[in-house]
Amino acid sequence: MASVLANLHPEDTVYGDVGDASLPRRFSAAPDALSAEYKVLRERAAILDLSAHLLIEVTGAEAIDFAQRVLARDVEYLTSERCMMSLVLDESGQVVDQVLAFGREDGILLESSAGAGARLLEHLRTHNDEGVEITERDDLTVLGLEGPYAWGVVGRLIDGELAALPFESVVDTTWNDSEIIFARTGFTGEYGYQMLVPKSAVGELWTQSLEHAQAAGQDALELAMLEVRQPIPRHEVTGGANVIEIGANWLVDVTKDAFVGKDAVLEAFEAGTGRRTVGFTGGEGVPTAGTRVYAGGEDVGEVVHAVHSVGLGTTLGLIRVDADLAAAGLEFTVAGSEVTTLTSPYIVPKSWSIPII
Amino acid sequence: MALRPIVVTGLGIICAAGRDPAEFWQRLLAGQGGLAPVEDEAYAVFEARYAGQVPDAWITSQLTGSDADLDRTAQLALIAARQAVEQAGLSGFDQDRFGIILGKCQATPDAAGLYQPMHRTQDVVAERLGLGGPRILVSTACAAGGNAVGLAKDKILTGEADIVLAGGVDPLLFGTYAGFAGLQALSTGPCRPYSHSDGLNLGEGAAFLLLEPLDLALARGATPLAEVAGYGLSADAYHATAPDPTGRGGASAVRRALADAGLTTDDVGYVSGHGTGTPANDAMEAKVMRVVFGERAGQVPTSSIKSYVGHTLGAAGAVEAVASVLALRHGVAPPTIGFDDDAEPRDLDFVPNTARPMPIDTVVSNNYAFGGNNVSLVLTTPQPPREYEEFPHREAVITGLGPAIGAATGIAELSAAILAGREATGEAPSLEGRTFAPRSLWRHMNQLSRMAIAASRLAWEDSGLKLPRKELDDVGLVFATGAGSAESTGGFDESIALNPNKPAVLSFSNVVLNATGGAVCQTLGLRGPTTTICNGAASASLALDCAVEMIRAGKAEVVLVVAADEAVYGTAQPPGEPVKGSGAVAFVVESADHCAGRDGMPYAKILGTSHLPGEPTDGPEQARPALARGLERLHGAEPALTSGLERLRGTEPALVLGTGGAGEAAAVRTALPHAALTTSVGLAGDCQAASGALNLALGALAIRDGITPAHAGTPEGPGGFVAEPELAAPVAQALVLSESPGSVRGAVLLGAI
Repeated sequence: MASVLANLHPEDTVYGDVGDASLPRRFSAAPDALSAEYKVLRERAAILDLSAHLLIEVTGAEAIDFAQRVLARDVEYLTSERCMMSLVLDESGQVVDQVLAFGREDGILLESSAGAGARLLEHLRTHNDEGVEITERDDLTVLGLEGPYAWGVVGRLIDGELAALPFESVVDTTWNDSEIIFARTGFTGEYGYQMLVPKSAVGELWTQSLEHAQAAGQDALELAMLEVRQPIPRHEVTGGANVIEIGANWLVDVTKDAFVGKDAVLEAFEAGTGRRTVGFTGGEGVPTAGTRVYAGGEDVGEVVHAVHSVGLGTTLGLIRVDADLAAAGLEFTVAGSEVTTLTSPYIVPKSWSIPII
Repeated sequence: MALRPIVVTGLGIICAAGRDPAEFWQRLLAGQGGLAPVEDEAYAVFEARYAGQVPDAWITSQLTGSDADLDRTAQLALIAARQAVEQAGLSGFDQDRFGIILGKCQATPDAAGLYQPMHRTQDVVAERLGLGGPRILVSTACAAGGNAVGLAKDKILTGEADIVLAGGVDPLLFGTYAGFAGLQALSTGPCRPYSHSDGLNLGEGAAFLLLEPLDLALARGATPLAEVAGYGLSADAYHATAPDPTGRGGASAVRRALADAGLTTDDVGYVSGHGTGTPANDAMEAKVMRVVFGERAGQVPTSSIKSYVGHTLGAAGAVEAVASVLALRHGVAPPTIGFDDDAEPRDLDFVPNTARPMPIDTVVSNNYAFGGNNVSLVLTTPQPPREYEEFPHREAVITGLGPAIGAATGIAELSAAILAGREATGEAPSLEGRTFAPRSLWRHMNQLSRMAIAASRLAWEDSGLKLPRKELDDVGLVFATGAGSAESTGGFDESIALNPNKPAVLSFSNVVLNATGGAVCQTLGLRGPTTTICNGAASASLALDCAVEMIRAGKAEVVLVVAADEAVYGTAQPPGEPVKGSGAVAFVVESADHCAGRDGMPYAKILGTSHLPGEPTDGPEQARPALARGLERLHGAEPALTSGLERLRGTEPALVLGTGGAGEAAAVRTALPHAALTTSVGLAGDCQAASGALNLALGALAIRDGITPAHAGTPEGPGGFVAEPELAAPVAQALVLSESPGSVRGAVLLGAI
């Protein structure tokens, strides 16, 4: 599925297929495109085409009961002015998707991760014991704003009052006579916002946003996410790893009475075995996923995902190793060269030292 | 047509920047602050030493006789109150028509250093001045003083009083100082609001404004100093101590106040800011200015009186209201002193360092408090007398009940407990088995807030209300408590005793009496008008009064009233007193129109209420005349009731829910010989404000569902005690009594729909 904004993007935009979606990876074919877009995101304000995130509305009398059962975090009292990130698990505790859940007056609205919408929708429908109404909101799409000065863009573009919204707060507002859902979110440690916009209005909003911010593609976004250890399910949910191995415990609430996959998560918690994920840097080149990781000549795990970090100027990635080795400051051998494990965040976001005024 | 104009005719103040209004104003003009290092060596443990203290000589020189033996809080309050009465030129007045509404943030010690009830200071002032009218202690933390002025206006508009002293008081207390120090909220030097926002200084003082209707003031030849044109309350529903950074809560209070006054932002000439000097407050206030005034924000001067006197907590709103009246009178905007001229941003006008003569006809005075309570007052230059319309009569009904008490959690359990005759005196409610709030909030809450939230959610669910977000923004909340959280107060005091530099900061944020009300707003997402009433066991019926006033004034269609108190377990039970219990009880008050519009099923309508002062020397023999007077003074939605009990003849209430106090049964038998009496005490013990609310809930339940707790005693039945929980028929009217000994006696008449 192509981006609804594809006709507005530059001709040399580099697209990539992620799951069921085609999305802009970089907005130029120039060799330094990633680096330039990354800098915009980390130093100024980037506008993000998140149209590969599918919006799914759950309504009906038992919508909250249903959501409470299929989401791994507690959404019982998620009001219409709050959103939260949660995992969706299957019975075996495997990650189906990582969603942003928006409380609504008449139910809940779920935003899939990039390209994962079809699988999520399918999962929700097969688990619909409550008989709730599950609707693909293909009339809406998502734009993101991210960066240390993204709040300024919000002020100029939408409403200054909304820039200082607390994290995970949501406001229903209007832009250019269109009703939009505006949320303070964030993937990269920078000030982050999302706008859920009618497709009929998104072109105009995108165009106007470009007057105040520059576009950044999926590559820059995922790099910046990795740098603050924001989970990227499509890279990290590999090889049957469970929630604890992925390191996404914070997206699960085991104190909740019940949810799909809870038993499996509890079992993994109690077993305490398996591998853990930790960040690393160094080495030569960027190792591919699955590359073996050695400690003292012994195979102790594998590379989950790695990229070249523009911020660090070297390789940055995640390895999944035996639990007792998953600590910062250790040396491992990956593809014949030495790497060092790190504590997150691997980059300190500029937003942490910039107040919203 | 507008409502009856209410004016200020007297001012009183004692604070670090002056011992009376004249000196205070002179020092505001001269930019002469009163912040200085605290000399008491106990404070040497803190890095920050500055505060706005009142010199002892200013107090002693204004007190004579037995007044000099009062505790410091009462002394400050009495001095300011007397000044206001004197300036107003009141010589003779009808005691029963003269009330007092006091804002106070802290529980303060008596002359011997022991905590006394929150309302004690107010009772002392009322007794010494001979005030027999309405008496309300409002404790919305640092917004209380401004809140009191607004409530005073309402009390005159409803016709309950002709004159009301409205103000605030708080002394400088070591524990509070330690708490603010622990929050890293104190500036190490004199505070410099808006320019060098590195923290606040605490202060102390008292201020009063004497309010009366313009027509009566002119008739007796008084000089109106300012009109109290309007006020607005709001809840942030955001955080226990931090203000909502978007400024939404503050902006909404200003907008409501201007709407109440029938004015627009263009009319505003000067804003007296909250201006504490903390980074969170000052940044939020700048946002409020920009959001409310838009492009005009830079042209509306705003300044901080706290730069002179520090943060006087419950008195602050009243101190600043006095300053605002003086600014109007003299046509001068007092400056923010200690202002750093190089401060950024420069888009707002904080009246730096020098007083500015300018025409001012409308002042907005803002206060923001812990618990997310906001208040804005609009004061204007007095206008000539004019025609006005009466305060509207709108019927209000009770539509949801939420008990969380020893015997029951939820109305279904309560009904079952009543029918089974179950007693649970002294027990705490069970909150197990279901959730009442998001876990992330619940786990940080003290028991009082948990009980109150459980009760609130149960009442809300019982009412069947399903409101969209937009309407929740206008749902009011009135919290009633005698003493707030014993758990947090105890935990905080213990931590201070151990080490003043390691206060239990989470407990500290819950020591303010309105913290639980704020937590309810935050959990249920309510952002309408909100206040907190602390008049002991009479708090709930006073809170009901406030809720009805909000509905009558059109400020809310739905108001949640929640009352909560907890016993201090482990302390000896005084012999002869009822067993103390812990609990919370909430009920939903709704305009009858709103309820009908959604096909709601109300329990009862509120026919009338009355509150009378009780004297500390009252014994059982006073119960009878007090009840008779209370019934005479019932007033409310139905105009017929304003003339009291005579109109009730023939339709007397068949049921009275009493407090179980001494002399009550005999009093009821005399005044209402056909009524049966019972009480809620057996269901939970004496839970102070929550027992008052439980009695109201039981009255509503008896009217709709025909059940009420049986009460052992003779005779049984009409003219005696309720013998069976299943009443022969639902009662047409129930009278609910409450009493805060030595302070307030309340009576509420509920009727069938």
